Amino acid sequence: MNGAGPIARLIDEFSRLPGIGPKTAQRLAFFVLNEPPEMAGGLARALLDAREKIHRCQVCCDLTDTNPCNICRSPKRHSDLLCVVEQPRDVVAIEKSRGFKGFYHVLHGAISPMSGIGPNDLTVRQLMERLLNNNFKEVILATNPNVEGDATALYLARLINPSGIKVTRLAHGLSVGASLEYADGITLSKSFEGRQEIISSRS
Amino acid sequence: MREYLVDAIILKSVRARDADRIITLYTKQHGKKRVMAHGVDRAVSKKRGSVQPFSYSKLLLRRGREIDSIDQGEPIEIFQDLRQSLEGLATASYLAELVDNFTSEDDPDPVVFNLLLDAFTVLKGDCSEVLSWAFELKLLSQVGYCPCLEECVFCDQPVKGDKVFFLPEQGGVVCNNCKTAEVPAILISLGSLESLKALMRWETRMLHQIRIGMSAGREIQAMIRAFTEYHLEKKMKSCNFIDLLK
Ligand SMILES: [Zn+2]
Ligand SMILES: [Zn+2]
Repeated sequence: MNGAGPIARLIDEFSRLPGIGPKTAQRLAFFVLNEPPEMAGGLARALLDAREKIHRCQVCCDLTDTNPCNICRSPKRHSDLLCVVEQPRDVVAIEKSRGFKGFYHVLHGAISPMSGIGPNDLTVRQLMERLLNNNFKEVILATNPNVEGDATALYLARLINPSGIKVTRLAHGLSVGASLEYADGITLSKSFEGRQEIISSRS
Repeated sequence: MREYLVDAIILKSVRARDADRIITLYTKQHGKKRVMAHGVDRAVSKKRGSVQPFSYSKLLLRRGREIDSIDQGEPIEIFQDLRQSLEGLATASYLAELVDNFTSEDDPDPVVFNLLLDAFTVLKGDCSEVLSWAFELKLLSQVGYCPCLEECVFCDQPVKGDKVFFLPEQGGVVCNNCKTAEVPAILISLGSLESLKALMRWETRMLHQIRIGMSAGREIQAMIRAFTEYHLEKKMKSCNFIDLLK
């Protein structure tokens, strides 16, 4: 097969997606080519449409097609509670569990010293500004119960503690190392009920 | 045999496709190993508890064509103390990154294994710097880069005076007579030099008794970092976060 032709290019583009190896990329490419042309057209339009219309909410940094997003604009949410999560998919998981009625803040990642990912790579600055300009009574840190999530929660607690705002962390009915996105709704809403205050002192 | 048991310290865990993760281990039996842990991010996974970074586990591995995988796992020790503070987690990351960088796969070294196990056992938020310096010096020595702190690297005479210079490239201290301006050098006081020798000699579980002042600490930090970066030919990734906490 020609290494620079349109097929090779398609395979190449697919293989840039997370979790897609060269074999899978090839399978996806030939699948698209075997389907009627409308399928490829629909896929291409959906990709472009989503990419053009979806951006980060200027308030909570979640992905949205409105600005601010629907949650940030809702008058029904509890304005004294803020839940900090790693990823947009965590907002989806928590909303599905219906255990939380406050607002969100999406970090877009977690602190990972070994990968060189620090607070400046996340939306920590936006979070601190938001806390300064609003009247949140409690910040719930819903980072994943793994090393990165722990480091992120301890770091944020250290930043927020001096402001006097109560900082809590989800109770770990979620077992160690679990990811929020794979947790079931009952476990997730229970872990909100049992959340515990954290005070991250300088040693 | 397609399956084999290892005693492993978990260095690193990186997300792969779906709920899989690639785990870097330092094992007693085979040294460093990169293995696949299938489905560990799922809520039902039984292996998950045993593959958390900075824990010590017994793992049953299965040989694979490209990469071995974890069949079953049982945590032996999760080192709760180091997980309670930012300094503990940051230091554990740093030690794990050092071991990952200075060892190669399938090259077992019981000294390195025990050094890491002992360090994780005593690691808490406080004293984490002293522990980390001692670990770094001992690890570098064990893999062949023992710093020479007694005699001048050029003339073999004992170094004198209240200030000496450490040369990362030559891996040791230099006396005032032999010191030239051309070679990169790090100034250390004689007190810091004595602390460095103690750090290399003292057992890990005794290290909390060593007290090092702020200015000596800065010299020691600079010397060890320059030495490590010289041999690694790059900066350690965990440094950024550790520096941020100061
Ligand atoms: Zn929003
Ligand atoms: Zn000399």
